[in-house]
Amino acid sequence: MLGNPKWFKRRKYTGWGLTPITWQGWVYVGALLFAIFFISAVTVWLNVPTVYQIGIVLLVLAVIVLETIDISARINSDERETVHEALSERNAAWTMAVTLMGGIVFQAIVSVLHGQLYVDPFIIAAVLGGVIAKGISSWYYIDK
Amino acid sequence: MEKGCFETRIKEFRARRGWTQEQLATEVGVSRETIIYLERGKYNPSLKLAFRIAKALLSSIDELFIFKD
Repeated sequence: MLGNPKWFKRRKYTGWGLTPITWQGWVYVGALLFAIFFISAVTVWLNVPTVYQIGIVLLVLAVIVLETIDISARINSDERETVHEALSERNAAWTMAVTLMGGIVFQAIVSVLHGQLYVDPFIIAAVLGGVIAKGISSWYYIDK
Repeated sequence: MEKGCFETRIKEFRARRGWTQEQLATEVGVSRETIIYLERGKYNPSLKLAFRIAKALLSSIDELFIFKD
């Protein structure tokens, strides 16, 4: 896409994403924010129905997320950084998995106490998604 | 993760070539921090990186890395 990986570094200590390290990076981030603001303003000015306004903004955000993923993938990191980043990602994944499982158990217990079993399907989907991602990764990296 | 199980002579061979850590890092395509960790024996490099370092320092892997059981 348009962003140059040399303009950014990967976030290490504050979650995921990119941090600009050059003025070009900051200009690029500013341009993306301006794009969101401009497109939102145009949709309001043209009296586009609210549902479509939200859809358009979500589309722009999706493009920005894809751009971030693309730049992140193109940032060069050496093998030590890659290994340590993978370990950090593993720790993050385990923390999220334990938290999600705790959420499922908590919701199940509370809902049963109120007379009807209910667990948020998004939490279940997140856990299943993780299980599928782990299975595919294991197949690709270990067995293939 | 095993944190390093060998001593290295990278620093000695790098000095022989008159290179800084930065120069060696650029030559083998890693960060300066990785060279620091390697020289302290605190990072186990891949075989590929070990070969690249040995080649850059006009040496061999068994000369550069001394395995500690």
